[in-house]
Amino acid sequence: MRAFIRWFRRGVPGFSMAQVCLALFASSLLFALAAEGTDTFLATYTTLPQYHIARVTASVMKEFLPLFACGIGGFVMLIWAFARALRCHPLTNRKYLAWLRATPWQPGKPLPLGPIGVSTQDCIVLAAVSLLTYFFTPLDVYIVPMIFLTGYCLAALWILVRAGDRPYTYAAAFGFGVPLGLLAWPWASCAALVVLYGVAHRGLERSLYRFPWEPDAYAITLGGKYSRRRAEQVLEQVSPRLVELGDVALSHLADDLGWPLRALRLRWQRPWFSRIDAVLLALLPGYYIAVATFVRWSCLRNDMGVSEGNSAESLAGSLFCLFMIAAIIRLMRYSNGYGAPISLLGRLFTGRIIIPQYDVIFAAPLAALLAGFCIVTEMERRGFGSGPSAAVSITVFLLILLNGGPSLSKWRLTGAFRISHSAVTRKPEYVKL
Amino acid sequence: MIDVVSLTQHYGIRPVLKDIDLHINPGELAAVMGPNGMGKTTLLAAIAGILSPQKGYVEINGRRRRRTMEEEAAIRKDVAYLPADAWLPMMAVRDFIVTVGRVYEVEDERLLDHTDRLLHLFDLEGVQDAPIGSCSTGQQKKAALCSALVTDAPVMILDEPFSGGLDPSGILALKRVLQRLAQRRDVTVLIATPVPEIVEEIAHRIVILVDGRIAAFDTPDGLRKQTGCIGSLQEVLEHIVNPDTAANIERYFEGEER
Repeated sequence: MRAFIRWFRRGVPGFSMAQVCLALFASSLLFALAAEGTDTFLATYTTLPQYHIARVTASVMKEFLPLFACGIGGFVMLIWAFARALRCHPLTNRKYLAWLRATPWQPGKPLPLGPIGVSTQDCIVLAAVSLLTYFFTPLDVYIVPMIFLTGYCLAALWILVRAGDRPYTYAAAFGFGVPLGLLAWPWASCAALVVLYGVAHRGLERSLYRFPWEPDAYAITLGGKYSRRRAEQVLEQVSPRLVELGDVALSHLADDLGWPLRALRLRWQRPWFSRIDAVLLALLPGYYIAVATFVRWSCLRNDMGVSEGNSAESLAGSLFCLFMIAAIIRLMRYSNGYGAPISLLGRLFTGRIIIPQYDVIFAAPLAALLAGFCIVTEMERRGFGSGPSAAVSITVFLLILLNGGPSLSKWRLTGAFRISHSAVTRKPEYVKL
Repeated sequence: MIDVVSLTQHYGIRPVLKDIDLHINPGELAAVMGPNGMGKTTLLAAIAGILSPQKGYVEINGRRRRRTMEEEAAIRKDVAYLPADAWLPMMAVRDFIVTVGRVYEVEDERLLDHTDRLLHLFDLEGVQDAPIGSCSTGQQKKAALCSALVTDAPVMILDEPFSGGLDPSGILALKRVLQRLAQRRDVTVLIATPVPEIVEEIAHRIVILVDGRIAAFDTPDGLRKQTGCIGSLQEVLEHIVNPDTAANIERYFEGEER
């Protein structure tokens, strides 16, 4: 028995008892709230003190316990799944990564804090919780594995984004739509989740082969004159993240060097996202709206208790607000610290109302706003319904907004702007000469 | 080499620079002088790429500013610009200088050695580990100058490098460094300063800006020949910028004697 416990503990993602208790309590409350609605939730939980004080009848307990068990069963597995992926992957555990870098560990060897995929120990816990849930709660047996796999895949997606593994990131991001779309057919949805788990796990395994992700801190020691410790101290003063990121982070240095070095930066970070990223990111929200529309349709078709309702009334208005916010964010990113070459008054009096090389930054946001708003209005007018209208308009809006030129790098090198130090002077960490 | 072609710059309605044409040879040290508000800082900022002129263009070592991404990126590596109103980060003095050098990809051994020598030259060794914000104004100016000098950039644009609280030893040190740079054939230096005495000692040629136009651009001796004035550079400058100054002074004292 002791050997079994020792073996079991080896495969358990490490977290403290306090974390477990807090997570269990919070998750069960949330689950109960979500499952039973606010009224039942409040009614149930307000009886709890009464039970202890006045010893109310056992019928209250009968009503209360399955609800609590649902919460525990479902959310224990969700937290377990998060912990399995997040705590066991060095990329999301800073101290673990730092320690691992100091050890002879190499990709391909077992990870010291446990595997990043589902282990035998996980299967035992999964089976136990599934059985408990099946026998003591009204939930179906597939719910627990589904919750576990969903949690794992979400955590894996986050890690894949951080690892910069694009093919697997997009495969997981778009893949999530399949189990979601099949919710009306739970077993098919569960099967899709298993396939998605395979994809996400393979992506995580692949990410480990890039260990240690950034060059060692030795690479940034300055000509060997400083000790490694000194180099780390130097870089920590420059920016704490540099110690971790090493030479790659030198591209960030331009951000920390005041004005005008900040604006006239020599090192350029890789663009936030490439053209392919921009297209795929633009497709993602529309894709999920389409999935949600399909889920709604399939639930209605299978008579699963979804009310028809009509949410299309204020769709155009709401979307327009969202579009405006997104367009303003893009404009601010382009113009913060990079102002127009002459003032508005100067434009008027010199007859240069439009300065094409500067005003080009307004073109993409305006075109995106116009296209997005026109599409959603027209599609609703033609009776396409709110789901398809929103999906198409958001996709078109984002495609124009994210792909419309000029790119940020091109703009900051070739645009006809006047560089100001507004972006720096607002920050207290700079001093004016 | 710096080429300025037909450059006109407005901030608002009034043009600050009007149709400026300027050619500074490689290895030359040129100084921009002129009364306040005549466009010295604007000219340097336009050459440094801070401003986008409404007309004309700037070329650095044969590459035109802001024409293509590649050209602009290459120019930025070649140019070190220190404005009079720079904002410095709150990092340690030495770290700041080293970091700027690393951004300009100065070779590590050379960078550390050069940093040590600059800190010693400008008497900053005592504050090298102190945050820039805790230094005096003069020390901050010295740190900023060190950061520009450490870059080893082939084109240096320094706006008012001698002002900003520099002590006499700092002024002397900077003067010597600039004189040494002026002797090299691979570094082009452009400075703006209102102090004629310093300019006379270090500059190959002097650009005199009046009302946004180049009133004169020549060597100190050439300017003397042009104006027929054999006195100090200050007198030559006055002759070009404000020919009536001497007469005005005479008139003032005549009035006092009466």
